[in-house]
Amino acid sequence: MNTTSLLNLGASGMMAAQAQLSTTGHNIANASVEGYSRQTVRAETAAGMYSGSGYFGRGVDVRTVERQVSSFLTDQVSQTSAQASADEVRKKMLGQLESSFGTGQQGIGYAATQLFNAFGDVAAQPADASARRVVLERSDDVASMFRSTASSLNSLQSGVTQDLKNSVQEVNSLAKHIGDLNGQIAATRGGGQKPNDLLDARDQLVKELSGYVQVNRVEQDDGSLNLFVGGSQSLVVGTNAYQFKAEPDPTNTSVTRVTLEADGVSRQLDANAVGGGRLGGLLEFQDSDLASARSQLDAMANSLSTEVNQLQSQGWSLKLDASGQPVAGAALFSTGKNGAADLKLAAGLSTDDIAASAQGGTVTSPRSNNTNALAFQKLGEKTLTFTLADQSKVDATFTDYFSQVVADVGVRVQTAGNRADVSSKLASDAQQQLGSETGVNLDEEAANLIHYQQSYQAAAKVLQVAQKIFDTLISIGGG
Amino acid sequence: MRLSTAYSYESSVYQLQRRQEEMSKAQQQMTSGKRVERPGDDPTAAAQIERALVEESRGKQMQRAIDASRNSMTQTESALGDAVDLSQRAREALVAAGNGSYGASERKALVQTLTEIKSQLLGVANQQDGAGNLLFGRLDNNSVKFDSRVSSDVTDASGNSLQSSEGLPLSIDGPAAWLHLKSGNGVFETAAASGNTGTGWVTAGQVTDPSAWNALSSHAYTVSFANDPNTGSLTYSVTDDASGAAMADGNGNTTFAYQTGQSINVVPGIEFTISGSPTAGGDSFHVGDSTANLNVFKALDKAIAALGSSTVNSGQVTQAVNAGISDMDQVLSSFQAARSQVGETLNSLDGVESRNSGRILSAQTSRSNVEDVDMVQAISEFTNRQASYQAALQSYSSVQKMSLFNYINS
Repeated sequence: MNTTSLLNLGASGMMAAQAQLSTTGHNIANASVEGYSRQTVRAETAAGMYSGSGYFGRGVDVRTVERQVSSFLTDQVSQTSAQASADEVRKKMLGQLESSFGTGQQGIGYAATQLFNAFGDVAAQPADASARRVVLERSDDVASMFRSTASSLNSLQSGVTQDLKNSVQEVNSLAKHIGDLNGQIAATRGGGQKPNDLLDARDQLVKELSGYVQVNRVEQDDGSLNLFVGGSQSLVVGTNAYQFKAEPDPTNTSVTRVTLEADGVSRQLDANAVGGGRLGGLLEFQDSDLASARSQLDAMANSLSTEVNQLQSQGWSLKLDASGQPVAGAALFSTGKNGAADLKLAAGLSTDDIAASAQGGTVTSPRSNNTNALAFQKLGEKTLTFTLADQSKVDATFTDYFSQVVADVGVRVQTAGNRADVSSKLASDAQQQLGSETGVNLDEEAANLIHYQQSYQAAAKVLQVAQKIFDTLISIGGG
Repeated sequence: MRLSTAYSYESSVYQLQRRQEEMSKAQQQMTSGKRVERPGDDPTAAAQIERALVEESRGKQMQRAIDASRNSMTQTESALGDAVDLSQRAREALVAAGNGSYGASERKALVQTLTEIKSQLLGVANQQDGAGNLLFGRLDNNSVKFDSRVSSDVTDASGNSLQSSEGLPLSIDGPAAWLHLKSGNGVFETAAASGNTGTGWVTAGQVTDPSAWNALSSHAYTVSFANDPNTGSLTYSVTDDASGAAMADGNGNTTFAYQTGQSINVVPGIEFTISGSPTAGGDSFHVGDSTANLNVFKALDKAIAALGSSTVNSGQVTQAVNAGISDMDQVLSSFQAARSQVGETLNSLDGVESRNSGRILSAQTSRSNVEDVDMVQAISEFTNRQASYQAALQSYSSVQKMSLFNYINS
């Protein structure tokens, strides 16, 4: 045994304590950085030195700096946050859809009832121009309400399209970034030490990516991470990142489709395949909620305009033909191929065009017959057939159907809200679990700081003792 | 369990935001007074609200229909009142014309009065409501007026009155009230043959036994006159137009001595009186079923024509006066019937209106029940939320102050 080894012991203790202090400092510095995993110094007792009187310890070795990691929890956070962000975006979009459908006195149902009621006033005064004028105004009102609802659905659709395009860009850039990090991580493989901060950065990127699209992760031997979408579609393989595209549907250009291009083959992904994330939520909203709302709105517009125009053609207006005979009423609504968006009050109508009178039979003057006006008024109670986009039919009165549509949107909003609540709770639970496993707790770090500082002081004290011993030896030699 | 400091900041801020959101939602409900502001708040309630709103607006439309009906019925009622007054005056004029001492010139003045009354009645019949609908129009030819053409040639069939959606009348059946009255006394009618030369005239008669009259197979009879071959006094006999058989009384007699003003009751169930001096062998009087073709204007025209002629004898004058008075009685009873029908309608409108306001009220109530917020509940909810938000804020600020670093001194 000699005093030099005591010096070495003190020095190794100081070095280890300094490494621990600096790692603690790193933890404190990164405490609020998202995706940062707590790091710890792995110190080991150095192998003892054999002497005739047994093994003498040789101090401490710093083996490596580890990051606290739980790949299960990390994956859990990705999956739950994908679901949460899908539900969240769908809830937000449904909230907008909900406000597109006016309800109560601002609703289409009420406006249509006002139209039917206006015909009741015409029935009371069949020849009264002002009652007839009100019918024209109410028809215009209903038509414009249909158009404005349709146009707000259209602007929701363009919002979805824009959002899908932005999200796709974001996904592509994240995938590329992950591919790059895969390369850097694989390159450090030879050093035998894990590049903790790069791994953290990659996990964080995967989590961000999960906010847009649900991915499955498969870790490779070289440390790189392969990502798959929709079960088996490659998104990132090694350093290769494939590209998402958002393009109009070739058969229906008003909706946007998302495709993934891998090795020259492009495959369309629907909401199910995307699984979650913002893309999944937007696709589900577009294909299920918005499509159904559109189809219901168009069904209402078509049914109403068909019924009203048909009744018009079955009655006599106040206009006379060349031979002095009353003519059938002209169509009140003009329609187009775009359903509700094209519904308009027909151009050039005058109050005389309203067919309040029944045709033929005993009617000698359409000015004094209100049979058809009564039929118009009864439209409010009549069971109409509403044909949806998928050709399924619903029989209900106009009011009942509109109430159903409102309730349907309401149920969707409510369900989406509940789903969003549940999934955000799950996501935050997963995040909390991961945080408790890998996150930085400043109190702990403070305790560590004191602890390692004391270790450092103690090791320094060993050095001081070694120096004193040395001094003692030298003074003996000098004396 | 160890807590990640970053997460605990994040999660407590998230919790604070939730509390704030809940509080603001409770506040919004309180300020708007609505529990269901958007369908998502309560889809079932939202659908109920839609239905209740439509129900309410239909009720309001119904109220307008009731008002329209009441307006036109009130106007019709007062028009019928005018018509009754005018017919009453016409009747009085006819009674005056029966004065035996009146000559052709006095009758001329009365004819003038009757003509005047007829044109006033036409005015009443063609009265319109504010919107140009005829009060006494009917469905489909509402705009065809009762003009003088109608008064001379009645082809206008009666029909349904114009009605609003719930069957509330907007006009009464004008032709039925003005043009299709029962002739005679309402059961049978009597008339002098047009070629009569004597001064005999017949009263409208009355029914003494409705079932006996109804049981008869024939309702057409002729009264003819002859001189008794033995005494030379005037006799009459009544023959059944259908069988040609003479009617016999209880003793089997078929020929009866004529006495002016004596009631003739050989036809079962009815009696009427012939007065004056009919000419034997030529004059006859007819009895027939009442028909629904008495027209107010035509009846007046007939009386005017008879009274205005300068070649009539006293019997024809009395006959015309008599027939005219009987016709006016029918007219008056027709107007009274129409008037009471209108009164009944006005009455029932009150019932319909009260039912309808009940319907509106119940729609409003059920809407309010699902839509409106219960203030007591809302206030206590808000106070709760406020307290929990406050507690969250306080705990956040006090917990976040705690850190071990505070105790590390240099």
